[in-house]
Amino acid sequence: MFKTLRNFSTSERFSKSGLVFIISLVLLLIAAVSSAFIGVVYISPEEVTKIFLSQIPYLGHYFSAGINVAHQSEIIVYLREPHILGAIIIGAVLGVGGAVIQSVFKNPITEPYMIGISSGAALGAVLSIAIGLTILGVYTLQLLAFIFSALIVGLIYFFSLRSGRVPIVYMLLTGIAVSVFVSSLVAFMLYNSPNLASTSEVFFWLMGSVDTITWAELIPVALLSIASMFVLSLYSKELDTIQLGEDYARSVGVRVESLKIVALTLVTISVSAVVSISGLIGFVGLVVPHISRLVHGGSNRKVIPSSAILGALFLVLAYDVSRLVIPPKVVPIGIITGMIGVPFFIYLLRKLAGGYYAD
Amino acid sequence: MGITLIEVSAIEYSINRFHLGPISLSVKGGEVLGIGGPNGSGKSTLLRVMLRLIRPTRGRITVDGEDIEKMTQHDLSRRLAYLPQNLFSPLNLSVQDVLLASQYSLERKSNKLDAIINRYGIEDLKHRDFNSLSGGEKRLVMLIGAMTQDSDAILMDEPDTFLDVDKEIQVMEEIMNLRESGRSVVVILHDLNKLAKICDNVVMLKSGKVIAYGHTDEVLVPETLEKMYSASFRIEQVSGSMRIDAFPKRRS
Repeated sequence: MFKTLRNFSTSERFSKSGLVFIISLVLLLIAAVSSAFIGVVYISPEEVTKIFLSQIPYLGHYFSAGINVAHQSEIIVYLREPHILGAIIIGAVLGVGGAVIQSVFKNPITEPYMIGISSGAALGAVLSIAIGLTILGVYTLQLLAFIFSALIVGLIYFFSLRSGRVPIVYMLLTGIAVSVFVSSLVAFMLYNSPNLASTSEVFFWLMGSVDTITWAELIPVALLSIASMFVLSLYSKELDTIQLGEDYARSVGVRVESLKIVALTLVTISVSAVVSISGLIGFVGLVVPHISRLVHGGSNRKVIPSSAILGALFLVLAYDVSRLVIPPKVVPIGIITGMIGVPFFIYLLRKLAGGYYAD
Repeated sequence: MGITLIEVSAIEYSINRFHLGPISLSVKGGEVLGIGGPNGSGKSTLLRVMLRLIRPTRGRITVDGEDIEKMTQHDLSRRLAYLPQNLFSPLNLSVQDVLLASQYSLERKSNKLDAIINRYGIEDLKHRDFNSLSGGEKRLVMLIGAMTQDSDAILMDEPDTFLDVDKEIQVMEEIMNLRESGRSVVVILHDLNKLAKICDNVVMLKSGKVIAYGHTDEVLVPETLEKMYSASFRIEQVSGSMRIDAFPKRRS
């Protein structure tokens, strides 16, 4: 497949974009449905299909009669479905977040976590796990992770302000510095924690997983995420223009500072939201936008939707692998994304990228 | 030449130990104003102040009598287009994507775009990755983008850098065409002969100060040039146009 892709002339590749979109959507659909067949409890594809169909509003009762075991239905509806849909939403958000952050920072090696989201989320998580805060009810961990990652991004933005503007290099450097500070704080709190078990709990949380996601967590996160991704996609023209330099973008009429605020806010909201229910799943935000650019060219009109679809597909497949490598254990998905993602990305770069990244 | 389009009144700008100004000048409709001077004299800074990319510490700039500080980014971009000196490397944008970006404030893509692409014979570049172009090709694409924005004036920071000699002649001709059509051009050029050839008026800067400003014939004279550069100059009229030669300065 890669050989064929490489052999496309660029103009051919542009006309093939539509086809690639359709193929990747179909692949995502197949991957999502077949992912429900995988699990500790074997449920036949036939049963899974019946259970799916029984959930169709108004028509579902025609199919529910054929379902053999009630608890199978519960496994699909309350466990596998929110996990798979979670993987789809999280993958899409990380992909889109990566595409947007790389455009705003004009830098191909940035990803959403670099603006403080990951260290902030870790701080929130450690406050909840190590200190045992429960002030916000059963979802204290998720809410604290969300609030603190948004807070840390806000702090980094504030520290980077220079007379009403945020020079993007300052923000990147400040982001790295503040993240190191916050990570040290997290390490200090863990070191000081009387409860050793909390250290491993934080560690597991940080590695990321989708197999604890419940519908109650997923629905608000999905709504926030879909709304954020939709609005971000409306800014694709501006995000293309800013890549030619902020001065240039201003000169053609883009309100650069407003664009940065909107883009950073929406990425922070959506990525913090998904991180709050999954922990840190690495590499998707970095690699997926690049694969999208290699396939569709660099315009965000295509890169943003493509990163959403490919990010979702990548994470659903990684989730499958995470359940298949050492059953009945589920390996944290963040480990899988790193282990599969990195070699795949290096292979792709070597195969495809000849002219793209050569200076 | 038409009525005054851009009016720069006593602007000053300071950063670190560099101070620009005070500078006052005006650009009329259909005028080509050249900005010359040695490296670090503040040419690009002046251009960026005129485009409101940086805010002057003193003074004001108006376009058609309207203070640019009071304009929206969109309105300002419809009046003044910009060809920057430094180009960023975008993430895999094609030449077509870059040209579309240049048309951002237009309601729809300029119908001149395809015509001008044909005129420069760069149809085959359209789908190429912008980063894979040579320096000259990149500059040409950005110039085409600036020229098709239908603004009242184009402010160009060294449009001739890296261009092949044939493309360079085309660009100079294009500036003359813009002038003919009543649009104004403010252009930074290092080459004194090009300044002499295409500019109606010239402002010469050194260390942020205006050394001379006025009609090209009056500004580009050996006495002025020798104040700016450590070289000797000879100026002759060759078949109706001015030719400037520079020589190493003799130690006295």
